Amino acid sequence: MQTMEPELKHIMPPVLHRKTNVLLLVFLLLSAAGFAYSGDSLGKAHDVLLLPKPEKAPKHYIRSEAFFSRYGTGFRPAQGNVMILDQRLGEYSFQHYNVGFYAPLMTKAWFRKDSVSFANFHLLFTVNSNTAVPQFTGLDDHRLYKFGMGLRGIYNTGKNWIWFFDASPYSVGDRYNTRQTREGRYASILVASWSRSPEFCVRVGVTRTFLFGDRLHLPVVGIRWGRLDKMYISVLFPRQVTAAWVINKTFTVSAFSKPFGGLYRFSNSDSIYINQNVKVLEFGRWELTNGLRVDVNCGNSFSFFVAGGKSLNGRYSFSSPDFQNNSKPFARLGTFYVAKVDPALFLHFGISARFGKAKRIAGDRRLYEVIDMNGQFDPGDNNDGPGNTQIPAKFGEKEKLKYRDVSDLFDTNDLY
Amino acid sequence: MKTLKYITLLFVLLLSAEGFAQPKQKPSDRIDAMKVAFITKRLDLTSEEAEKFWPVYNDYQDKRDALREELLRAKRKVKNGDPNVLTDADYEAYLQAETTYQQKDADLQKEFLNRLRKVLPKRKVALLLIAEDDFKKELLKRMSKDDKPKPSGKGQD
Repeated sequence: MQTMEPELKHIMPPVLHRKTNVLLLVFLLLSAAGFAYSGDSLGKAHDVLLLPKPEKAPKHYIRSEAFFSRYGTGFRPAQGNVMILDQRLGEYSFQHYNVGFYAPLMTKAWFRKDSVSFANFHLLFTVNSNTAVPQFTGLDDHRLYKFGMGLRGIYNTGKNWIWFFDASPYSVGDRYNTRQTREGRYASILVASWSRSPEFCVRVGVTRTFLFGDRLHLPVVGIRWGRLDKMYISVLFPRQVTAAWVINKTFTVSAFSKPFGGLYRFSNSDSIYINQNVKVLEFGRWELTNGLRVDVNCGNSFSFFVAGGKSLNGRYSFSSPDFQNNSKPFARLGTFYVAKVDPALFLHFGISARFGKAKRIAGDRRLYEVIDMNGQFDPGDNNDGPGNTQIPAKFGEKEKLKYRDVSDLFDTNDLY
Repeated sequence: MKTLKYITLLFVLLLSAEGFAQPKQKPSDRIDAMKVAFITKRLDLTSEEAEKFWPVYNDYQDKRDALREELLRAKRKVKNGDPNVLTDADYEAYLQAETTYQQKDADLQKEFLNRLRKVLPKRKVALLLIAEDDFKKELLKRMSKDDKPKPSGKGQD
């Protein structure tokens, strides 16, 4: 029994360990209860003569969205370039908890001089907080945090171009020694998307990213074939390769291959680096996750996804400030230890909730592109966002409508 | 980790609030998606026409909705208000709102049709007006039989 406990600890997400988290479960159940009664026939929806309740006119095309996701792999062997550290660290697994939020701050929409080209600009506020837990069998867990708030702008010219910019300043640190490990960082991305039809688009840009366990300045190059509301293949370096099929308004299935990683501050409390005066190390990690993902849209406001597959090409590294001065803007990290990690199965799941109402976007392919760009580039440079939850799926021929769907769309004159 | 837990708790709380605060969320996304399919088919829109048409059409619908909400506010006040409490000023406000609505709606439609003439052939613009009426009929037809309104007093409450 004593040997079982540590194993269970590794299998079960730590959020389920503590009794206080029963609260979460209670609130989840409450949420479920709330949703179960929405639009219930016990309401007044069947009274055709009842005037619909006036609502505030929506200002934005993108709804606010909050999301949470959890990623984890099992333990696997790692082979590094320093034997003594290989023995010290042991096997490796990685757990990741991610919470994000974005909300539109301002939306400007106007017709251009030709009076039919519809241009719009969207300014959004983003928040991201995540905890990365690299687990080594030879060390206590370090909880590496990252918290940031940023801004992003998307400009739809109303012609063939859409511009996207995201600035994500954030702080990173190790809970083990928050005071000495805290540091500010900045990730950003600028992308231009060009498309002449709903079935094809090309994206080019630049990004400053930590996704590969180092501070890199990379070009962004992407291409997409297929409709965002139906079926498409998207190749977007350095973010992901995706083949997605929007089955209906509820289900989307996709196969993906994407890098997943980051650069974190790691307390040297375990003396991984031999110089005891060095209090903080840089911990970089990345892996290529390949798998299948199922997105489920439960109505207008709530969705979740489950993804699973195999993580390949995993590696992690440690570097220290005195190993190499990397203060130059384009300098690469000098690592004193790099380990290759064996492939492992991973599980990734998440939930997201959307708030408020948005203006109509149905059929407007350029606004679909705007929303796709907002979804592809998640807040906080994690490559771990909620996905395209706000693009309406094509209406299926066999779908049935319920009376409550249409009850407030008719004037009494329509009934004659 | 604690902060993350609190954020998660907050997130779940927001979810709860969302679930309860909007018991009758209008599923307009589905209706809009159905409308796109219906009108595209009826007007036989080419992809070039569609990409110009939908932004213009959606903008018109949004502006019309906003106008309608203004009218509804005034209308509800009169319909649901206590006749003993409502004053002539309240009734006048509603009459004004109704007149203003009619005028603004006509202006909006004029502007919309002018825009449409630039992106669609006149035949298709005319067909759109007919298709909009037909779409409402299609909506009623599409409703599942089980979900049609029951006579008042039965099956309610």
